[in-house]
Amino acid sequence: MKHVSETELIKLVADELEPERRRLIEQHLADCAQCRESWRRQQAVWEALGAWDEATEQRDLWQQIETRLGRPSGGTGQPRILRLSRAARLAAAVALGVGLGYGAGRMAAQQPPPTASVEEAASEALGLGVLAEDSPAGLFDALVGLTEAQGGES
Amino acid sequence: MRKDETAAVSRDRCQSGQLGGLSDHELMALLGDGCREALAELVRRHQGAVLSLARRFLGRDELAEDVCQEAFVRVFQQAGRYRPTASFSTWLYRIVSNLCWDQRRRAARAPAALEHDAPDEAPEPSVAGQRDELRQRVRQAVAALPDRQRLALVMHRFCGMGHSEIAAATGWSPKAVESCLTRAYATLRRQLADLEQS
Repeated sequence: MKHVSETELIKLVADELEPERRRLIEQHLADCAQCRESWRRQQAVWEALGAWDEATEQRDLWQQIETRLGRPSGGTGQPRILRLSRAARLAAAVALGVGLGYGAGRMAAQQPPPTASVEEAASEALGLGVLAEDSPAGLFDALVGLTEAQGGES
Repeated sequence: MRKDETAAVSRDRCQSGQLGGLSDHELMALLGDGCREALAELVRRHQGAVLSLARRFLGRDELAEDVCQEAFVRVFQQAGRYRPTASFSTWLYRIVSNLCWDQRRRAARAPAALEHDAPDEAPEPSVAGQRDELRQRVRQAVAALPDRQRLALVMHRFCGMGHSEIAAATGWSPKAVESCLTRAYATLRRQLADLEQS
């Protein structure tokens, strides 16, 4: 038999092996000093761990459990929405912002068109109003005079 | 016994509180029918083991109690879906394992919470003091293990779970469980080697 694996040494010390396998390994340990030393060290650790007894008071938690059963799971008394993680809250805020923006855009698109005609709007944009006959700038008369003078020369 | 007769017997058991002789699976069946006393009996049977696991893994009493309470709340909530395909304790330890991981993830975001409870006062130079020192050394050595190794070791050494049970409770492969345990025990052998000599 080859040397005993670490896993089987652990199982041997923890008494997890089938009887036949245990017998074969114990037979090997009797003849192999190396494996016997490994087994001894594993046994020592196993026993040392046994010294860690959590001898704390055995509290009866049933009352606290019953109290929790009366609230939502993991309940802290807060409304469920407030117990969202930070990432979930951020995602919700982004979704809300996008939704509001989309809604605002749709509302703006549905507003009626301006009452002014296209021509009037263009004229206003190009500043042509100063050339109009009724413009207080008086440039219409100047333009008319200029036009008549040119017509006379040709 | 007909199904309606079985249900009637169960209700009688629940109302009379004669639940001590029932198996965990039978108690879960009662719980699925709404018998809270069945949950009380399950708590009585298993809270010690659950607390022991959570305390040794998390290192903090208040976190361990929180995990224990939440674990049984989830047992209650999932009772209707429970199927006795594996042992109840393996199913319960799976819940506890998941809750412990949740606590560790939360603690990782708050480094102060990662610190284990302060060790006991310096042991006295007596037999009892030496035992206290040994307990502290062991506790510190286990606390220093990586999370997966520590969980596997605690389940193996202190919950009496075999390799396959640990795999079922954690969802890890059998090979991963083997690896965690061999590394954990090897680390502890190195750290506690001087104890053998003394």
